[in-house]
Amino acid sequence: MFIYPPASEAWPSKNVEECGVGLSEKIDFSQIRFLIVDPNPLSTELLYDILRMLGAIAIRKVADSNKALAVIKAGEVDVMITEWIVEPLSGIELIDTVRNTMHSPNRMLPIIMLTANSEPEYVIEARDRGVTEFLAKPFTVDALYRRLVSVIARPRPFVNADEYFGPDRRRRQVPHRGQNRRAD
Amino acid sequence: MAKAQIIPPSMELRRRAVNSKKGFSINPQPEELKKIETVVHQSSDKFIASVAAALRALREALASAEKDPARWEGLMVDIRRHAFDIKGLGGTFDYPLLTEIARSLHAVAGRMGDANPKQMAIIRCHIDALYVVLAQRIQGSGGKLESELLEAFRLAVAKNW
Repeated sequence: MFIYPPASEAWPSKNVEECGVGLSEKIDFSQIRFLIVDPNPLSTELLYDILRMLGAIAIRKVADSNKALAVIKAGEVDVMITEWIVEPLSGIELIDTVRNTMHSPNRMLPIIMLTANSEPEYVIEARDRGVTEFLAKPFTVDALYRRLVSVIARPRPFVNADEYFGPDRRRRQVPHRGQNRRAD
Repeated sequence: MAKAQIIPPSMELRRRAVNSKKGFSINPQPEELKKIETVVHQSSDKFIASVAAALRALREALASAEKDPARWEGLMVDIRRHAFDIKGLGGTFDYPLLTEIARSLHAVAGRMGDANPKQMAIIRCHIDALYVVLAQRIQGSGGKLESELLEAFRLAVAKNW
């Protein structure tokens, strides 16, 4: 079953830059359920402690992708933060499973790839498999925070195409003033 | 080719969590970020202990593999795993040199076939360099010497792989 938001939650007709978020707005992280998928205990603990400092109270930690899928299937996660190097499914295979299998419980789950595989080819592959945000390790607190804000407060529309299902990969909405010459 | 469908985003998380009263600001002030960074500082000792333990294990495994080449493949798997972890955490704890040396080590350990003495020596030099950075607590990017070390690794790897 594919989960699409009802029409009442439709993205406003204004572009993303106009909608934006108010400068005085806050995020109550206690309202978000996080899932950390990382086999490295120190990395997991650091991320857990940062989320706790932000006020998050529902944080699951798993070291393998099978357990991650079990948590996702139980509907107990709002945001997943995963490393690439995980087993038995890699983080990228995990994203693929969430985005593209018929029985995925939440194809639009916000997913942050937080990985030491930081070279450009990994960024591109993660983007093309449907990751919501990519953050290379080693990370700064500021960069991590901005990714969290992005997935919670600035959700992007999804694209459902022949060879891709995932967040709109265009990061800026630029109005097109020319002729619409796309074939119907 | 069928047209792509644009699906509006779910605003559920935003509705649940974004508000004007409680939580961290969407555009945090420096002092708010500093508060979060204390978490990183508090974990610094654990990071150092973790890297030290990993390097000890790698040195022992390297010594075993030098005596018994049949252990080489297993050693490379361990080196890649530890190097990946150090690469991913070094810079977060203000040890970017650890990240850079581990990046080089991770890359070469992934390209090892049968060991040859020069490659083994370069692998050992990487592990020794990680030891020195950790033991001397060389934080930040280091100076000229450290830059020359990274360049030397780059040249040695380019020449021998």
